[in-house]
Amino acid sequence: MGVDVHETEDPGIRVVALTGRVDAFTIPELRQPIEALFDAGIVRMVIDLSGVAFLDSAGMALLVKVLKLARAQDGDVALVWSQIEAANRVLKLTKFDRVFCTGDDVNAALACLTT
Amino acid sequence: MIATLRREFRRLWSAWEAAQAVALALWQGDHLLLAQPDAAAVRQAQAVDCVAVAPLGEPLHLCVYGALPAGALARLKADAFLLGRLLHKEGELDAMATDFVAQQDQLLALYKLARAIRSQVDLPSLLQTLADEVRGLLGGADVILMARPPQGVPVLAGGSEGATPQDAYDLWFDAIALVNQRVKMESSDDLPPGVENVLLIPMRVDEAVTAVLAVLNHPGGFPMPTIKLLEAVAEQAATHVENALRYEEKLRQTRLLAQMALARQVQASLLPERLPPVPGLEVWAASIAALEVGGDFYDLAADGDLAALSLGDVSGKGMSAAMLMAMARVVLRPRGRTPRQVLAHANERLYDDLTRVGAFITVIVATYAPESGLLTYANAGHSPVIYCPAQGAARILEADSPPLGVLPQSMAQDHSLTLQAGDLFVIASDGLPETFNAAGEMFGYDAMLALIEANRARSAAQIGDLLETTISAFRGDSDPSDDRTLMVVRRVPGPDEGGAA
Repeated sequence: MGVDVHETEDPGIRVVALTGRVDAFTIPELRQPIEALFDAGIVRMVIDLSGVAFLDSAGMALLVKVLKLARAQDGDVALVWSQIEAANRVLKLTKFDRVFCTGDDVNAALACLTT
Repeated sequence: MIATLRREFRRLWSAWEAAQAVALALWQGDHLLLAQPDAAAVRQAQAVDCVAVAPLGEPLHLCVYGALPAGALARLKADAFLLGRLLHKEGELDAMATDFVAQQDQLLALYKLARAIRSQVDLPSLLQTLADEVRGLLGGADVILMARPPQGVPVLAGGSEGATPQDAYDLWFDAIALVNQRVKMESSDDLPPGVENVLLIPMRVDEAVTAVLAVLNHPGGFPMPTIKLLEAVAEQAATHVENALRYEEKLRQTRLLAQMALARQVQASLLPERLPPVPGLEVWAASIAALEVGGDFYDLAADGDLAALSLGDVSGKGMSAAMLMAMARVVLRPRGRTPRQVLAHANERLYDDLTRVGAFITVIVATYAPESGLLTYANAGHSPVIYCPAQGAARILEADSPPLGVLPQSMAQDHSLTLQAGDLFVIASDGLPETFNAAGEMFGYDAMLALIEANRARSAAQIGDLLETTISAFRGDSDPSDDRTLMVVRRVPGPDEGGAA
């Protein structure tokens, strides 16, 4: 479980890379760096799930919360699919692919935010 | 001077008088304490002999006056010794009396203290009362009370100009807890500025130090009687601190249990006690809550000529999920609307509340027309929804909309299928296929489809039971992490065998 924030060519966009499990137990730690971005005025971000092995409903609730925060400030959130199909399955079954713009890698997801 | 001494002195004088002495005197330095027959006689006469009266600290002298026979000195010495013993005994008696009075004062103070703190049940007000009472008892000292409950943050009371309660806690609490005995520090020790002296007394509950009484800047330091008094106070207060801690712990647990009980009650009251019969359908449903109360719900009700059913899962657990589930259930009854309209309306009603608590609801709503077998459903992010025809492969009917509370408008559309005799419609919460065993393997959606397909000839109740027991067996001893809710709907095979399940 971890979270890394990377800068991008666009100073208004960050990539937030999550790894490991995204569930009720890890969320308190994952949430903080993301909230810090909003505090710093960053409202456009790619959440990179490629290293995420497991995502539960609490993890999805976090994604929804971040999305709502961003869109409320004219920002947006794009997702990078996980390498683990089990983690994607829950997102697809819940139709989160109709909520977020998604990409297979960071560049594809970044394209959602810049076009 | 005490009466017994006077009496004894007069008795001694009678003997000396008989021996022709003119006067007898007891001197304290230059001060004439006792004289016989009177002071004037003493002043006019010449002292023959004087001896020190042992053993008191003050220089007392017994003197005899007049023309005396031989051996008078030895007798005088004997008399002086007698008086000395008498004085010594009187001194002891005096000291005992003083001690007794002091003890009475202390008992009274302790009694007052006990009365003052008896009515305080919560820790903060107990410690505050203790600090006030001890300060009053000592008169002119700073008092700090510190307690560390097994759960939660330290509770502090009282104060000093030299050290805040937090300072005192940081500086001394752990040390006292470690040494588990009283510690006295004077100005020579390493004390913060403004603290002249400090006495720290541990208060024990079950042998462990859970509170510390600190007295700071006591004028004159801490002589033994003061220490004894404060230790008596601490010992008595420890009992009350223990009671307060037990009370708080009990209160905490009671609140927790009450909240869980309430959540369970809310949840249970929202699930239908029994399912109304639907012509031509067998319906079996059950919801098993995980250890913590979750937000699964299901419903089956008559809606005009139709039967309306729903099954959903509020993300999150505990009271907030149960409350949201209560709200959801109310707005999910069709009342003549199609499932799509129901979800659109429900999303509108619940979106703000769901946003506020950071939750969402996956839900499927369906209506069934017994006449035609037409099943119309709309699905907001819920899975699994399984359709298993009497012939052909079982398949998952995927949602076309994210859950309620994710987007301001629901995207769910109406979908229809006609249930033929023997067709199955199975909806569950994801807690069923996503059950993990001790090895970390998931039961899985495919296994669920295969199980349903292989047993589709059985009744709805048999299929429901089989799914539950198979998945429970798969889980083994590992804890269920999520609610498991299941509804099995089966159109009875052949209209002649029809009727409610």
